[in-house]
Amino acid sequence: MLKNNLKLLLKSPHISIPLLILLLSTVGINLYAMSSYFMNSDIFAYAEKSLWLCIIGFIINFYASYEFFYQIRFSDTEETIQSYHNVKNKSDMVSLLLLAVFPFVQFVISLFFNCVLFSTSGMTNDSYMVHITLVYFLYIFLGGVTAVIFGALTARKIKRIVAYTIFALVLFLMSGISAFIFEGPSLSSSINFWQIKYFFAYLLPNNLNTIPYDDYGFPCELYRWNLSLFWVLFLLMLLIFTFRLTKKKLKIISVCLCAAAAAVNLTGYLMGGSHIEAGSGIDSIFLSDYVYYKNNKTEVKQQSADFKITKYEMLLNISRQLDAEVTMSLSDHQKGTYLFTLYHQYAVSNVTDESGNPLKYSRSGDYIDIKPDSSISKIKIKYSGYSSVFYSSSQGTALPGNFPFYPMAGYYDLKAKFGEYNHIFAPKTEYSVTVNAPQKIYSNLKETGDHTFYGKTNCPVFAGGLYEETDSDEYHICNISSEILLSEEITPEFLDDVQKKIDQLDKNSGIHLKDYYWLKMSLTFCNQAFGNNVLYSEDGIMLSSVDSPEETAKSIIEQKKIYDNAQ
Amino acid sequence: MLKLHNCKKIFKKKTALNGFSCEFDQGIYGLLGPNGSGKTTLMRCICGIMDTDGGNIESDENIIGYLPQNFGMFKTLTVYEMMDYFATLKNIPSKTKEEEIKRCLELVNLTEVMNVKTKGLSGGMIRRAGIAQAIMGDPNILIFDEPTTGLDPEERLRFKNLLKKIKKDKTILISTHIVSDVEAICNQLIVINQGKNIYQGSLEEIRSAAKNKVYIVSEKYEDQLEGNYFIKDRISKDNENFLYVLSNSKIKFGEPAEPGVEDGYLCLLKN
Ligand SMILES: Nc1ncnc2c1ncn2[C@@H]1O[C@H](COP(=O)(O)OP(=O)(O)O)[C@@H](O)[C@H]1O
Ligand SMILES: [Mg+2]
Repeated sequence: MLKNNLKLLLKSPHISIPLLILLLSTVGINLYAMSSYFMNSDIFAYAEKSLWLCIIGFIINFYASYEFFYQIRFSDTEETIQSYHNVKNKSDMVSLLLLAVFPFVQFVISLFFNCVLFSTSGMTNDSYMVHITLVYFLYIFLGGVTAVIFGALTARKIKRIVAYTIFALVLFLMSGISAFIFEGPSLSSSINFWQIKYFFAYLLPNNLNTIPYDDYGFPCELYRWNLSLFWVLFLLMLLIFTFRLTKKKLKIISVCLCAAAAAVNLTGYLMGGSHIEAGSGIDSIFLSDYVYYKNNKTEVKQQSADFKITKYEMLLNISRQLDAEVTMSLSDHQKGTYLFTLYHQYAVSNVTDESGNPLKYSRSGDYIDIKPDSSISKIKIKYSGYSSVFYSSSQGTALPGNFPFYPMAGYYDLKAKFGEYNHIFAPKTEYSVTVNAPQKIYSNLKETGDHTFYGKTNCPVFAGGLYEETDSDEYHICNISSEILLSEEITPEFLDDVQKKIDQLDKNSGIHLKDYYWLKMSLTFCNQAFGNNVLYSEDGIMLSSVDSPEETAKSIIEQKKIYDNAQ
Repeated sequence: MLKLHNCKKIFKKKTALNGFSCEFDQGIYGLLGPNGSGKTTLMRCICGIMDTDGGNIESDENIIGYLPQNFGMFKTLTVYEMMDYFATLKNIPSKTKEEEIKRCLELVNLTEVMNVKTKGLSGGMIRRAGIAQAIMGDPNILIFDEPTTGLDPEERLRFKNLLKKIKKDKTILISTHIVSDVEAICNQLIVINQGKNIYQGSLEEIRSAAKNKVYIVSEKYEDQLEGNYFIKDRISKDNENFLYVLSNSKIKFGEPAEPGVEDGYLCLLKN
């Protein structure tokens, strides 16, 4: 049956030629992107170019599917085939499978080119390869399959003009051109109209012309998978609905199964979760908190705490968002109110003392007041949520310790301007942290076990994503995968140079770079998180640039002084 | 064996089958009925293309050869490729497929155009290809919906011969609204009107329905015709014009004539 349908497809030039062009352009675009990769070693610039395929594929796959099923529908063969023993639906399903092979081939070709790049580049860790496989599968394959099913469905039920008009409308909604429709209403009302656009747009990677985050990659979070799977299942359900099955039960069961699976995925999508929205949407990294603080009615407060936290025990569960359970040991505790700062997007669900008795608390904006009736030695807070800048998603984590993703003692002014917050350095204290995340998590605290970290700092940082540990015998280094290709990674040689410079600048600094865990962070992250190129801490040092050993040496000495002098 | 019992099919506004019952044995059945009487609907229900809204259809065959009223093919494929496409869907084993396709094409005389694209075929050839497709796999029940429309007299003759070539022990049902087709081909007749089986019997029997109801009347008496009558034809003989009249009541000034199948059919419809 497959052979027959393939023959029919190949013999219909108005379908087979566009599909052939699609496959050829898949190779062409990849070759073109590859040549530009060899010029500047930027693997993301490469992937970005190759991802244009998913848009071309979306259009051509829809066209091919529509025309193929349209041809079947209006060939006057339908009735003949229906008279055969229950083969009509099977034949249509086989046609559908055949058409789905094309996005799959596109996916495989693109992946092949990436494998070539991966094996010729210096990357040793496969986090990038896994990432790009998922991204291609999601956008090139699932995106293409969505278009195929959509084409089949419309061809069976809808006139050509109407079908193409609907498709053009969907494309328009997906593209950046339609942004103007949503911008105004969303800013002037409390409803986020962008959601309507995203419901279609997130089928493909939006904002292909903005460079992705080096440590995060292309958007590929769980909720996007939910959306793509929702569309595939939902359209499949409608398609099966158009089938005439002699076994009524089979039809009901398959429609129900599709509907149930689609509903699960729709729920997953609506649950949303942490992600990076780099566009002009209201929940973008630039706008979301800027708008919040602009409209926020609760006043900004600043007040130091009259108690101290001697130890944090944190359980950070990261999947769609951050679900945290933080226990704080208190010293100097006196009766009265405990003041904390916790970023407002984290919803507090539970506040208890050490034995699990609930404590009275009030929340307004970024602030929490906890009012125990008697004196307590520990407070445990449960909360969940995410920040649109410091993400904690199924794909990556970037939680810098000077952003209150955990309760900080006292009131701080967090105010954000276009994706930047005030950088808070809490008092130095002890941290014992367990992080469960889909990615491997790196931290400036000492890794003591599989998912556990321990140490003393004034700024615990947790990061996960496209990182790659490049351990040498002498140094413990973690770099960003893509930056290794650009030769912007921390190398033992570089650290040797920095050590030399430090020794020249200050013989008595007592800094031995080999004692630290080295984390390379993206420039964006460092700017947003610390406002500095270097973050010094007892067990780990983070760097965002490796240009000049001298500058780095100076910064480290300076930052260490600040750190040592801090409380 | 094929049995229909009280079959109903109701479309939104129209009752296409209204309690149709019938039994089929071996032989060639002509399904005769005016346009819109439900012939196509009946055949579709028998072939399982449509579900009935009541009644039941019994058959001990699991394949039925069917030629739809509007039979078509993919224009870009050749006749052989198209038959291959049908054969695969018909689950004809790949070992015997080629042989079977050739047998069927031979039977309908299309071997010569086997490798021609279907878009180049004449209307008659397309119908024949449709018949080839229907007889593929040698089903015991064959259903042809208006197989003779659009055929020229020569092709009609060929179709008649073709039916003779197809083995006798089959049940063949042919629908038509043209009586002369039935006369030439069929040995059993079913008349359908408004979704009901209004007659089933042999060709001879149907003539008797018009017994004593057919008259040839001179044109000059046309004004004097009365009661329930129907002028079927006008004939010219020896410079005088005559009317061929079907009438329920006796026409005194007319000459009784021997009724044909068509007359019987018309009488059934007009009553
Ligand atoms: N799919 C359909 N939807 C609605 N009405 C239909 C459909 N098919 C047939 N009909 C109606 O049912 C009646 C019988 O049609 P049909 O079986 O095609 O008659 P015949 O083949 O004898 O000309 C007609 O009045 C026709 O309009
Ligand atoms: Mg008909």
